[in-house]
Amino acid sequence: MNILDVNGLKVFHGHAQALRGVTFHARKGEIVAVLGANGAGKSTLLGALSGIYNAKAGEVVFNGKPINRRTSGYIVKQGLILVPEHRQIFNTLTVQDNLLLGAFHRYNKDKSILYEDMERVLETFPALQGKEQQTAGILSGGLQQMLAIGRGLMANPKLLMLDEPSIGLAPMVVAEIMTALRKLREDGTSIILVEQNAAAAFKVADRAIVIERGQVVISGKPGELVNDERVQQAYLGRTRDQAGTVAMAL
Amino acid sequence: MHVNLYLQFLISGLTLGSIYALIALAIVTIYNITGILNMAQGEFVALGALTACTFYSAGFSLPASFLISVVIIAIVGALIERLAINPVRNASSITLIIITIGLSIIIRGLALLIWGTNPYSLPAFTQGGPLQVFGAAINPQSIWVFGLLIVTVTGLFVFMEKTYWGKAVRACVINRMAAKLMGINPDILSLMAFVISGALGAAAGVFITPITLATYDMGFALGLKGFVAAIIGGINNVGGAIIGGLLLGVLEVFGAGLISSGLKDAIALIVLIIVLLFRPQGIIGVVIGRKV
Repeated sequence: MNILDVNGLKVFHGHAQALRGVTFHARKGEIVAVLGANGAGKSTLLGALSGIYNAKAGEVVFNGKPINRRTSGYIVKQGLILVPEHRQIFNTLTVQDNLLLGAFHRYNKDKSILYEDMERVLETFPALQGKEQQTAGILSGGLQQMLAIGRGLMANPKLLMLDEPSIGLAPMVVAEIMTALRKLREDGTSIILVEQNAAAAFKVADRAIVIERGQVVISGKPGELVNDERVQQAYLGRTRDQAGTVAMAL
Repeated sequence: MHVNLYLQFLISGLTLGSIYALIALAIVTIYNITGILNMAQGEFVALGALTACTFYSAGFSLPASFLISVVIIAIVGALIERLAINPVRNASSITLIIITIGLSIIIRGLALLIWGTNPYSLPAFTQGGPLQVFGAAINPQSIWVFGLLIVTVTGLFVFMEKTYWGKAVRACVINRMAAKLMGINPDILSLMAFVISGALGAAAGVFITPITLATYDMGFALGLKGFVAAIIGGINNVGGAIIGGLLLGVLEVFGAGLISSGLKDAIALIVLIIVLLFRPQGIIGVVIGRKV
């Protein structure tokens, strides 16, 4: 069953068309990787899905409800949460404040269980344990990324969208984050993972789509995409001969 | 010159500075939350003072007149935000500043029509003569004004540091887009900022009226001084606004007393130019940069 259906989504930044009719879907409990070069429209897609940008045309149905032209507040309430590019944590607030603010939309309803949920997030990212009262801005890049994802998880997402969570991070930290994403999928959270690091994304994704110039140009399972010459050249930096190794690793 | 005189200047300066600091606080609060420089903040002070005078002369008690005035001006703040600011919230900052300057002129014009050019007064909050401290005379109303500043600062501090909503406001100040992605609605916070600033302006207006009297055009100079105080302190810094306000008040009184009273208003602008030339981020403000 699909949790997200996107049909013919068109978004403009001024006169420039950033999305030219994007169509794709995400099923419940799967990780969909979204690949694309800089400027392909990946972040615009996530921004449009989360209500930051208004779509000029197209339809977005999330969990059975149309969310076109809805405010980001409404979309967050439905359980569609974006962890933005470059983390964008509240750097002068503490780790705990950042996490609690992630639950803003349900603060009045679920106040009593927020701290239990925070404990669960800290179990997902043990590296954050004991740092609850630290100012978020002084954390390392990796911990800030974990905090950004943790803040998103505090919103109780049905579908979590992550915009390039591996950017600028050491391979070990990326591996830790990808492990956490697998665990979230096992717990039933659907995930859309925007990445330029295709190798890392293919390791966790169930399906992947490739966006070029604001359109979906390829889609399929990572095992299929890894053999596509365009994907190999553009995102894996490999020739066809080397692709077999990657396919086997998957 | 006698030391008592300097003490007298200092006390008068701190009283005047408290007023500037209150207005600067309101300007900084709106700026931090919405990114808008509200040049109509002084008019909130004037409207608050004049409204309270009207209700007091109609027979209401002083506390009742104060409360009614604060509520009415808070509503005026809310109406201004919804009708004049919110519909154009994505406009450039220069457009928004011009809108607030226009609002300031409109409010002053309406105040002239309603209240005329005569000054209005309110009685001092506590009766009795000035208090003598080390030979300097302190007007009891000055203590009320200083007290209002302390209560306001404490209230803002507790709200921002200790409450969930205060932290939501701070989150919005730190990163508006990320706050939106958490479901925090910057529009509501913008409305809240104007309501708080309206109430704060009205309270300041009522508290200073027993010292300065209330006139339809009192807001212009006060708003300008509050703006200068906010710039001196660093436009995005609450602590800086308080220090900037107090410093400006003290400099003005010392300048007027020791050099010439004609220089009083010029001093604010001279200080503004010096700060902008040598420390444009303000005394304790931080440089706001943008990664390119």
